[in-house]
Amino acid sequence: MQLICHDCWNYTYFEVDVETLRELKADSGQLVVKDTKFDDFNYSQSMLRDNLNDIVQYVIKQNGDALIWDSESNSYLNNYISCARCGSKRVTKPYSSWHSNRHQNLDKELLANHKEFTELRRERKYANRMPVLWKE
Amino acid sequence: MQIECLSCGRSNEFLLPLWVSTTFKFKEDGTLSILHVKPLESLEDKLTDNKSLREISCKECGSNEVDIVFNEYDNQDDEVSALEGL
Repeated sequence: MQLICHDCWNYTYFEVDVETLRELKADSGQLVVKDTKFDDFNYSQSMLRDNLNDIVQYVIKQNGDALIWDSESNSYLNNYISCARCGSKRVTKPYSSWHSNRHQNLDKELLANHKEFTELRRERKYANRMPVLWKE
Repeated sequence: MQIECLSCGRSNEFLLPLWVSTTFKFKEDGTLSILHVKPLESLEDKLTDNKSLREISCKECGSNEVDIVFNEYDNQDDEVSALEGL
């Protein structure tokens, strides 16, 4: 589960507006509209998928930045993604990574890892001073 | 209708960005699958709107200097002869 709608609890289907590219070709007075291709590579479809993926990953990563405060509904609304079931824009990540118990105290963590760090540094210090087994 | 690149004058293929509404779903492996794509902008409106004319670019040289001629007949005689030809 990566996103959730706070109105209908849908966590699968969503909608987002993305920009894609179309190719226009004026041929004997007629306008032909099609996907643009470069050497059999469908750039229109690729751009659509990339832009969709970029926006979704951005919203997942920058959860708070993707939200705007709506004074009418008195709640935060997602600026990019809406729910495809109910149309609500109250779409966020299902959890917040900002909670106080996520990490232990840094001093305690450093102290607990002190021995491992000392061995790591010792390993680097003496790495070039290994005993020569076959000395000529 | 004719579209002409004022920069290179060679290409008859042009690119136009369009906004679409995309319905997608999260698959079980976390990847995205597209269910539906709906255009949000009218292609005809963008072609006739002078503000959007700069968005059209030449596929060959990338220039935005593009001229669109909707009526291909320069004078009425040509139009009449074309209709007679039909």
